[in-house]
Amino acid sequence: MRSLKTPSIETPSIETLSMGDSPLHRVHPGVKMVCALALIVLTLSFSRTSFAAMLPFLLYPSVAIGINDIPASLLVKRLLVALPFAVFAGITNLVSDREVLFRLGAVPVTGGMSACAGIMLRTLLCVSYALILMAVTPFPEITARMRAIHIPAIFVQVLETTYRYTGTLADEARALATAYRLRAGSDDAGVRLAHAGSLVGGLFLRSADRADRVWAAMRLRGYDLRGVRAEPKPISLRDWIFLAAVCGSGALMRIVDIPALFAAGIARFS
Amino acid sequence: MHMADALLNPAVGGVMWAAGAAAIGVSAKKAASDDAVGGRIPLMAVSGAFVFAAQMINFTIPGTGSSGHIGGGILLAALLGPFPALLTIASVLLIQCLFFADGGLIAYGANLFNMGVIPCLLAYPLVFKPMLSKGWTPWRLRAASVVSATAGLLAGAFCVVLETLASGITLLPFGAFTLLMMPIHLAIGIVEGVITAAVLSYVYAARPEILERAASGGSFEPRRGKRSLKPVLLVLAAAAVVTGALLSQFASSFPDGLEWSIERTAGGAELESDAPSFHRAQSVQDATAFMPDYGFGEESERGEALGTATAGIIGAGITAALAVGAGVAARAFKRGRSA
Repeated sequence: MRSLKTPSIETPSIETLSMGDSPLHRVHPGVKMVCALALIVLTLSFSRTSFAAMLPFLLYPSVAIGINDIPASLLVKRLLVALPFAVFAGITNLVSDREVLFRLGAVPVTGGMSACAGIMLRTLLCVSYALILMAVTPFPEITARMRAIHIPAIFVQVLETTYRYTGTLADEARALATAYRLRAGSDDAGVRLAHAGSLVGGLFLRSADRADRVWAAMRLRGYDLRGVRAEPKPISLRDWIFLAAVCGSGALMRIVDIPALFAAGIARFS
Repeated sequence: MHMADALLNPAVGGVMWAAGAAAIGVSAKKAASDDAVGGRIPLMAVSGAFVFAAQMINFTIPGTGSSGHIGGGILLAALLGPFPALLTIASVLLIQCLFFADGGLIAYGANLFNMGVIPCLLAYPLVFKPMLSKGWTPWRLRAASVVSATAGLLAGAFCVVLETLASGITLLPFGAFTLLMMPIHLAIGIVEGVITAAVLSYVYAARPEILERAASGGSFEPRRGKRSLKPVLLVLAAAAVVTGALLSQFASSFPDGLEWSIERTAGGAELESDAPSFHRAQSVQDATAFMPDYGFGEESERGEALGTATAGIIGAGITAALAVGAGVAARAFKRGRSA
């Protein structure tokens, strides 16, 4: 039985990382968001069966993780969440595309195998970009940028407030589930469907009442819909250089097939 | 059912982003037009966090040995009304995407459409509410919950099939892919529907005014005399799907935007050169790229040359090693400086 105090979700750990200080933390949040999106688009622009040509893009998560001491286990856990559909799509390729491209010793390598590997690598890269963005950028800075580009204020407000409530309610839900298991006398017992209404419905009603109390308390302290915002810092020359370096190198790696260049060199000297 | 970025190409992802942005914009406009909206933000946020938290509780599915968890769309639409529910689902999906890698950034629009727009703006008004139009009874509420949650999930899963096929991620035929996806999501949908029905029945028994207010539009109904935006939204959603399909055809014909650009500027799909080094590198690249330009025949035979393929794999290995090694070196350098 896990401890009742075991953190149920790891948002705080990413949040803790985002409060750190590193060269990446100091880059303008808007620039980091643009870079992450650009890298995702560049990665996804490779054809279905590309694999080797995408490998140079490992440079970005690798260096970012190295510089910021981001635990690799965090990335692996998140990757497991992202994998099911990717694995499904990969397997369908294995089945539907059996054309043998070349043989590696006695092992035939099919188009489906390369497509499957490509989907996995794409998933790894895209998950890495997003998580690293969140690990080096405090969430309020991201929502401030969302306001700056005129994303509807009510949506940003709901987003911020949901984020704040998530940890609290998740712990409450886990405590509920743990208490249920203790009463059931089995560590592995799921909640019976017959009990779903009272268990989860009760959680909702308590949450709704709590929301009313929280809102009343916030209003009494002078809160309004505009929230509390710091002045956004301007984009510096260093930020522009960072943007140009990341996007420029990404575009270059998209155009130039670096593994093929290495292979050409090996073929020449062998 | 969260789609990862790897299942979409940028064209389809972009179209679905536009559809999702339109849905958020319309919902926010409706919400902002109401004076009481401020007071409901905490309820919307807590409901979003509630769905998030409730998904951590697994329910035993009788007779199967497996388990399922609660869905979000119909439950939130029934508790909050469709437009606030959509904003709430959009927030939950963004947090799941950013902090938990559950769904990708480029795939965010597709996920919002599949799991937000379909249940909140289609299944809820077209299935859930009509089934309760003759009055609220516990059995009607249960039936409406199960049918609308199942219909919403099946429609969402079908959209996943369309979006994945439109992106050219799988070569599976449409029929086979659909047959693979639908039965499993039918089962999941029924389980989610049963759990949703149980929760809504409990809430209705304890606080009926919550569900009735949401069903009657609450304070988010369009004001009298103002033109309803629902038809506009439905048209936008339909247009997004159609446009996505059309764009994907374009993307399938011209899978690589860079090649298209080169063709326009240089007159051919690929830059050619007569230099010997170019041909040598080209032959290696063909093998390394496994199936260049989706080609099979000649390229595949050429790729069977073991030496060339091995060189390609070694080249790929060197690249990966260098990329990862740069990170290891960066970490070592940083620790060396801080020591």
